[in-house]
Amino acid sequence: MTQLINAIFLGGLYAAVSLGLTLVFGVMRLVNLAHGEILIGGGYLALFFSGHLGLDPLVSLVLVVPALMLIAYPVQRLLLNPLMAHGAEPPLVATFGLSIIAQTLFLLAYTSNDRSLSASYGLTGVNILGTDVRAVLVIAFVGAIVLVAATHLALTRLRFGMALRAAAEDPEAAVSLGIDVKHVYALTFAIGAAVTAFGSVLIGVAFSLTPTAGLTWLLRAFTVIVLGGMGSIVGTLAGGMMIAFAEQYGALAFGPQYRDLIVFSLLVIVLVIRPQGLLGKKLA
Amino acid sequence: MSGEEAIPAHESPGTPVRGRRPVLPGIASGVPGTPAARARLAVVVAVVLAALFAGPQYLSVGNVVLAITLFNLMAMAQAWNLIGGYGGQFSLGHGLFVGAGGYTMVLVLLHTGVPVAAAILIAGAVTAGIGALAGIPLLRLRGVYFSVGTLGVMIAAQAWVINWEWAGRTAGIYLPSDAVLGFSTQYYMGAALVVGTTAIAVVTVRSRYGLRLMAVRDDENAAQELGVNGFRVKLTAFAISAFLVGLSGALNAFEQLNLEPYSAFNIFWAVNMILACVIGGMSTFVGPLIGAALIFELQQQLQGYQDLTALIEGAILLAVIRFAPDGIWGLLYALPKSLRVLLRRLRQQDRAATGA
Repeated sequence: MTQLINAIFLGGLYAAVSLGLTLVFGVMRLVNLAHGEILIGGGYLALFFSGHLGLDPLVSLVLVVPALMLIAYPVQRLLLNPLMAHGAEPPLVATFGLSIIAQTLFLLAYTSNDRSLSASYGLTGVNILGTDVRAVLVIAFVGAIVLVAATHLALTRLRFGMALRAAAEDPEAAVSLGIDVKHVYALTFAIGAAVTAFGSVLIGVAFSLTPTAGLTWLLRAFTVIVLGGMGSIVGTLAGGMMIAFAEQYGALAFGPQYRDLIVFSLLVIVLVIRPQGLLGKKLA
Repeated sequence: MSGEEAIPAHESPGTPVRGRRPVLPGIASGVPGTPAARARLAVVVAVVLAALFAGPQYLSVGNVVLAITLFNLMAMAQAWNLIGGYGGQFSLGHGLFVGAGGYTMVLVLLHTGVPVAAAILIAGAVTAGIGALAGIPLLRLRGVYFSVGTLGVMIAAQAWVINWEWAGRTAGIYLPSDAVLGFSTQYYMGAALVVGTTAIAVVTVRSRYGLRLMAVRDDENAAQELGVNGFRVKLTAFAISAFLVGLSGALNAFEQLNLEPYSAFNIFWAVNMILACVIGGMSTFVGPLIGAALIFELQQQLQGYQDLTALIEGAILLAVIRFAPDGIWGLLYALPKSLRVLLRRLRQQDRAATGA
C-alpha cells in the first residue's frame, strides 16, 4: 500500500516533468534534446529568484515562466524553424548543441555542486491513508493534474489551441487557412518551456540540481511520453504513473540501485514492441 | 529558355529534400578520373602516411601523447560517420561501444593469458556482437526514436556496469601492469587505427553495399521496394561501426590505465563524435578527420578553460548546422567551384560593361 501511494504521487511529478516535451513533440514531431536543460535551467532560475528576492520557489514561478518563454520563443523562431525545412535531423542536432551550451552555462554559473531549492514542503510529510507522503509530491500530483487538464482544455477549446492542432495535423493546409505556423511553432515551444517550469521547481525541491542532471531527466521524460502515447497530453499522466510504478516495484524486487536500469530498459522494450507508444495515438 | 522547365517538378532545386542527400558526389562516387589526378592523390596519401608513421621520430614525447588522444578521436568520429552519416542513423549511444571495448579488453587481460594484440581484437569482436544485439531492436526504430533508444541503452549499460561486481562496480578496473604499453607503441596503434578505420569506411561506402546503405538512408521505403533489406543493411553498418569504436575503446583503456563506468559509458563520447562529424562534414571521409582535429585543437588551446571549450563547441555546432550544413570540408570542397562561378560572373559583368 505504501508503495502504491508513493508511486501515484511520484507519477504526478514525472508527468509534470514531461508535459512540455509531450507538447513540443505532439505539435512539431520534434524531440527536444535540450528538454532536460530547460528543466534544470528553470530550477536554477528559481534558485536565483528565490535567493535574491526571498521568494518561495513556487511563487518564483511568476518570474521563471516568463523568463523561460522569452528564451524559448526566439530559439524556435530563429534557429529551429528554418532547420525544420531540411528534415528531422538538423533540428535534432541543433537542440543537442543547445543542451551542450546550456550545461556549460549552468556549470559556469553554479559549479558542479548539488544545489536544491529549500521550501517547507520539501521535507514535511502529509498523511494519506496511513502513509506518509512528502508534501512536495502531493503538490506535484495536484499540479500535474491541473496542468494536464488545462493544457487539454486549451488545445480543444481555445482558438489558439485549435490553430496549434491544425498546424500539428497538416502545416501546409494550416498556412493556406491563414494560420501563422512559424509563430504557432515558436509559441508552442515557449509554452512547452513554461509548462516545464513547474517540473523544474519540483525537481529542485524534491531532488537536486546539477549541471549534467538534465540527461537522465530527458530520458525519463522521453520514457513517459513513449509509455503515454507519443504526444498524447492525457497519456502523459498515465505514462508518469506507469514509470513510477515500475520504479517503485522494480526497486522493491531487485534493489534500489537498479532504478535507472529498470526505467531505461522499459523505454527500450516499449519502443521496440510498440513504437507508437502504449496508449493513444494523436495529440489531445 | 525551357532548360529549367525540363526538370520534373519534384526535383526542382527549391523543393526541400527529406533526409540527407549525398552532398559531395565527387567524394562519394570515386577517385579522381584522370590517371594524372589519381597519381597526384596517391603521392599525397603516401606523403601523409609517411609523415604519420614517422611521428615518434620527430615529435616530442608530449606531442606523441597528444597525438594518441587525437588519433582515438579521429578514428571514433570516422566510425560514427559510417552509421551516423552514410547510414543516416543518428546514434547518441556510441559511448556504449567505447565502454564495452575498453572493459572487454581489460577484463580479458585480467582473467586470461592471451597476448595484448589478441585482447584488442577480442574487444573489437565482442563490441561488434554487442552492437549487433543492441541493433536488432534499435534499428527497427526510425529517426529520433532510434537516437533516444541508443541513449537509453547506453545509460542502461552504465547502470548495469555500476552494479556489476565482477567489473569492479563504481571503482572500476585497472589495466594489469604487464600490459601497460609505451607511448610510441600506442602512437603506432592509434595511427594504424585511424588509417584502418578510414580505409574500411572508404571500402565499405564505395562498395555495392555502400550504395545500398545510402539508398536506405535517403529513402528507406523506396529502397525496400527495390529489394534492399533496409534493416539488414543498417545492422551491418551498425556492427562495423561498433567494431571500430570497440577497438578505439580498447586503445583508450591503454591511455587511461583505469576504467570506471561513469566515464567509460558516457554521452561525452558520442558528443565528441557528433561534433567532429557535423563540424567537419557528415558523409565525407575527410570531414570527420578535420572536425576531430579542429575540436581537439580547440580543447588544447583552451586547456584550463574546459567550460569555455564546450561553450564554443556548441556555438560552432549551431553555426555550422544553420549556415553550412555540409560542414567545413563541404565549404572547402565547394570553394574552387564557387570561386569559378564568381569569376565568371565578374567577367560577364566586365564584358557587359565594356560592350555597353
